Amino acid sequence: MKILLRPLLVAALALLICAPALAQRQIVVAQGEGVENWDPPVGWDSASEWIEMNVYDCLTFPDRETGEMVGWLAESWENLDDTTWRLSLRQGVTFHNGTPFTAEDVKFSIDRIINGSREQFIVFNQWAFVDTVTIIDDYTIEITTDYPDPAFLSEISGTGCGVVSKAYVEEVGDNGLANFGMGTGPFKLVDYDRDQHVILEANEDYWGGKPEIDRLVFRVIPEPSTRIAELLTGGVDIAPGILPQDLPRIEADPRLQVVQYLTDRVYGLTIAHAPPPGVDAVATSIPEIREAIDYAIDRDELIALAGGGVPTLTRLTPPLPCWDTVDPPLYNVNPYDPERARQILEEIGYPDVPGGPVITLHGTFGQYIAQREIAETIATMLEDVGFEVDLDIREFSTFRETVYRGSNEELMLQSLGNIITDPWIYILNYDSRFGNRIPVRGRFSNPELDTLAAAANVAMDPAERCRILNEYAHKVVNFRPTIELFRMADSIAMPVNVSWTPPPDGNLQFVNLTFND
Amino acid sequence: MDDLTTDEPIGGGPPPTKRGQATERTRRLFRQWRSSPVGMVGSVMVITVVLVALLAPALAPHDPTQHHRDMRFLPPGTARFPLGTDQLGRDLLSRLLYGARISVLVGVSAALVGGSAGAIIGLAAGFYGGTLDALISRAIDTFLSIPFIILVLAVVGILGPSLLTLILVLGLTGWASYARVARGETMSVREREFVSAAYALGGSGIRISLRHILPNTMASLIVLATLDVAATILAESGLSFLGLGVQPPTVTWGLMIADGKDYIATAWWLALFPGLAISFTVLGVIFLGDWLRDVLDPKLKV
Amino acid sequence: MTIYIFRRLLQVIPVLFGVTLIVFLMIRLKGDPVQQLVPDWYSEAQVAEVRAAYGFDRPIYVQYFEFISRAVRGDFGLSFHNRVPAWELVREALPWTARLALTAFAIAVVVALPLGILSALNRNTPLDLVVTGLSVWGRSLPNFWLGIMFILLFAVALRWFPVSGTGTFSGLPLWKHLFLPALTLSMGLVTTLTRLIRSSMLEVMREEHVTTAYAKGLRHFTVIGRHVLRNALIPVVTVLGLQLAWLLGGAVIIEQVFAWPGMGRLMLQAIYARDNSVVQAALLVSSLVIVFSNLIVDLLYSVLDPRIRYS
Repeated sequence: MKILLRPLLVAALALLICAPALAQRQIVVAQGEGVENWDPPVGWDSASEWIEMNVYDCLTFPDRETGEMVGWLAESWENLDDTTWRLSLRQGVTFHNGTPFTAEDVKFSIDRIINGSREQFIVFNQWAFVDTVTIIDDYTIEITTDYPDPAFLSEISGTGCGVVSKAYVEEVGDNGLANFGMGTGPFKLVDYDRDQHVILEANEDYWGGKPEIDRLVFRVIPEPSTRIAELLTGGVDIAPGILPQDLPRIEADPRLQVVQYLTDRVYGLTIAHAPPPGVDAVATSIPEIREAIDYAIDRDELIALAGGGVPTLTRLTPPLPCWDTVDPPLYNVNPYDPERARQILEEIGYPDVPGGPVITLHGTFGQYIAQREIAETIATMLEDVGFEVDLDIREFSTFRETVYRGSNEELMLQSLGNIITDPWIYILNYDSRFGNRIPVRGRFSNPELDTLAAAANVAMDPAERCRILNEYAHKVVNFRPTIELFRMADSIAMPVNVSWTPPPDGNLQFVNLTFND
Repeated sequence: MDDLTTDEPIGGGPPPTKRGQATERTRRLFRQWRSSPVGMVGSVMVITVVLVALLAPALAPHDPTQHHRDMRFLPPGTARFPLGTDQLGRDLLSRLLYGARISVLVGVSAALVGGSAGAIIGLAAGFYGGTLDALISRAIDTFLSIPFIILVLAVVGILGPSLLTLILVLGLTGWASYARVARGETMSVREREFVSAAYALGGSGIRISLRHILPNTMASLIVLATLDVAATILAESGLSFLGLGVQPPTVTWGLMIADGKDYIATAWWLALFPGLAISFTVLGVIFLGDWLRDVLDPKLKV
Repeated sequence: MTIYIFRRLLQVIPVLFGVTLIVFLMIRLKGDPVQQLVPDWYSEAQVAEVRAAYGFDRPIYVQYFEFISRAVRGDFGLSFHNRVPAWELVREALPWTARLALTAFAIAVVVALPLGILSALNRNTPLDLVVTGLSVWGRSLPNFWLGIMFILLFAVALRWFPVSGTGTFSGLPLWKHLFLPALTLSMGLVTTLTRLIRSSMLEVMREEHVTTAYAKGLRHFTVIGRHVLRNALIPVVTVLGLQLAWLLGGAVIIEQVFAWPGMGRLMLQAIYARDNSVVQAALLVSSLVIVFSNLIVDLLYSVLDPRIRYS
């Protein structure tokens, strides 16, 4: 009975709140998944991360255009030496419960992660760069790193960066925080029902000024066609991830517009350089086979399937630092040349090659746009130049448990994003010294890449770093630990009377949404 | 017209081992078939589907997995692609025909797997009685208490979907209803004269149950199996919707409709035709099962 | 009668045992459940650590005993994914599915009753074929497809009902949100009930007291209404328990389409995430609901129908 009454109560309450102030601006956003956990370094699922960034603030924030880091809760910083950073914190900021924000909270938030474990915090390794956090005074802290870290300012705004209140977490405990988030962000959490909605209200005292949205609601709607129906009937106002086939229907509605933007995700093929346990050989251990695959794929056609994107050979994409110093460019190129692919295959005598003739292509679906269709199309493109392809599509959780855990053969379609706005993650990915995912799945170790990566990771001089990265990017493209395909676009439906630029990392941050009527 | 069968289920008659009785029964069935519109329509529908499934390679105008990349989303009505093409430019008609094979295969095999397992277990329970029966009966109750689709989902989710897993899981999770029916029928047949006579003549338990009892429980099991085929085809499509069904490049109606639902508003034919195909098959099977039940076994209700 | 009730209650115990055993063994189908729990970069030593932490390194019967003794107290462990007690998630979801299933059942009865009667009274005529066809139609379509079509028709085109959700902040009454998913879920049930009513009516019509009633010269409709229908409805009550299992299964898909926060969606999310404690809690609770509704129905049945043999 209690539960039956609750929706009515909420509705009545909503009416009461809405009635006097007609100008209340409400935005309802549709999401495929709900927030699972309000603890920033724990809630690693995309929905949690995307929605949480409205409630929490981090120390720095990447400028979405230039990729430069700008001050957020940290107003300014100073690089005392290569491994010591002194940050001055913003003053007069308060948490949603009224307690003031101080250096104590920053130290507490970071110490929590680095003194925790991988079991507890998914981002544990990502924060391993921090050595110590020292409070200088109420609004100054010093962070030391284990080694010179050019990516420092980006890394402190990476996943799990939301600053929590020391007093609040000590009062409610980890479980309390997991169930009800509280930060210094532009919106404060009002009501949270795991599988139904998250209701946020504007933080009147936000240090960056009160956001224009008064009430921000996230609804959990797993089925894509239901999300479209809700959009068309006004049940929700904003929905990301609009599939290309639904665009005409939404654009036909005079109340709605569709904004397409480039995300930081790149579709690519992870390539096995050596066979997984129990398999004798993989054809992709032969460099020419990898090259032929690269030439066989028409990236523009894949982009058409996905409804937008930019072809690329590298994950060093804008606005990551150094992307524009890569020479010759590897971004926005499509080396499609099926004739050349056929010729290469003929020269090496395919199908009589070790591990041949069958090329296995692993894929899954439901995670990213047109995922299954892209895998199916790549399979036919490879067949067109003469490959024999075995398409192996699995449901995501099975995929994750089998293929993704190392049983992958020749090719695996996957999409990777940047958790921070720095080439750091791109470099790290191919570095075999840390047992990272791509070397693990590709079963390769490339000392040249490792050496360059080690140099790039500690190069504090930006120009020097870009020079190393240029060499690195070209080495990656020639060696082909992965074959990158295209940078993904996302289409987001929103009312015509709002202006909003979605950030490329997919975070649904609404502080900058404005109404233009 | 139903006087011959309604009062006396076939399970209650003498053992149908003599040829004369068998032909008599066939003749009776045929008479009833002709006089029942439900049975007639149902069997014609089912035979059509089975024929289509068998003859798919001969009937299909294209390779069902071939992408015609320049001809995506072609609406139905062209001579080359009579039912149009899908999001990757594959011929819908060919996919529909080939899809029939896997859909029917999954439906029939799962019913066979579940039916045989259930029949044997039920037979054993009914025939031997005692502790074995008590054990099996509780196992049946247990399985009937677990939501079927949820169990299938959980098991497929853990094992991962493949054609074989699907058939086995869909089949084996359905054994309990067969076992329940087989057990009941066996118990009613066990005490009959011809069984005692077989015993008196020195027949072994297994021989008697297979030769004399199993044939008498077949009628009810067949009725159950027809309905199970329909349920399985639908369950497979539901699993496909949830991403746990058969995976491409294998094509089933369930997968086609699950794929097509994202295009319902823009390319209606993608989900409509496989939907109609499933609907047609299930309707046919249910009609046939309904009629078989009326004819063979009026006592069987669920 | 008392003996029957006693025996029936006794039968529940082995079934409960069986259900817990299946739920317990299910997550171990693929061997080591720990492999599914840990992230893919874990080393063997770390995996062993997690195995010990979850108690998977102990003998299986010890694990089973532990599982039961904790389940009895409603303790299924923390959800691996959400880090809240699994039981809490189930408790939140159960009432939503209950509402959906009961409404669907009510809709199905209202639709199936006239169809079943019509079909029985016109047995083996074209009308029978049409009615059977109509009632079967709902079950012959995948219910996710029906759900999407209902949304397009009743919510998008006609705007009679909201598209999805439970109305926690739409301001609309709950029944408006409940109607479309319940209607979709009821479609399959309509088929079953129509056919059941049809066949049980046919059976009753052949019975002696009906023949006697006709012989006494009672009018056709009086006989049907007074003698046939009443007795024919009894089996409908008895399938309620069995159909509940079916409804709960159908709810998985329908809750996904209509964004309904019930057991089905909880279960599905847990399966995708390999969240074993939630899968176990949800499956066990749904099965218990079915076991006990079957029990209640059986007991009711013995009261309703004095012809039942207590053997």
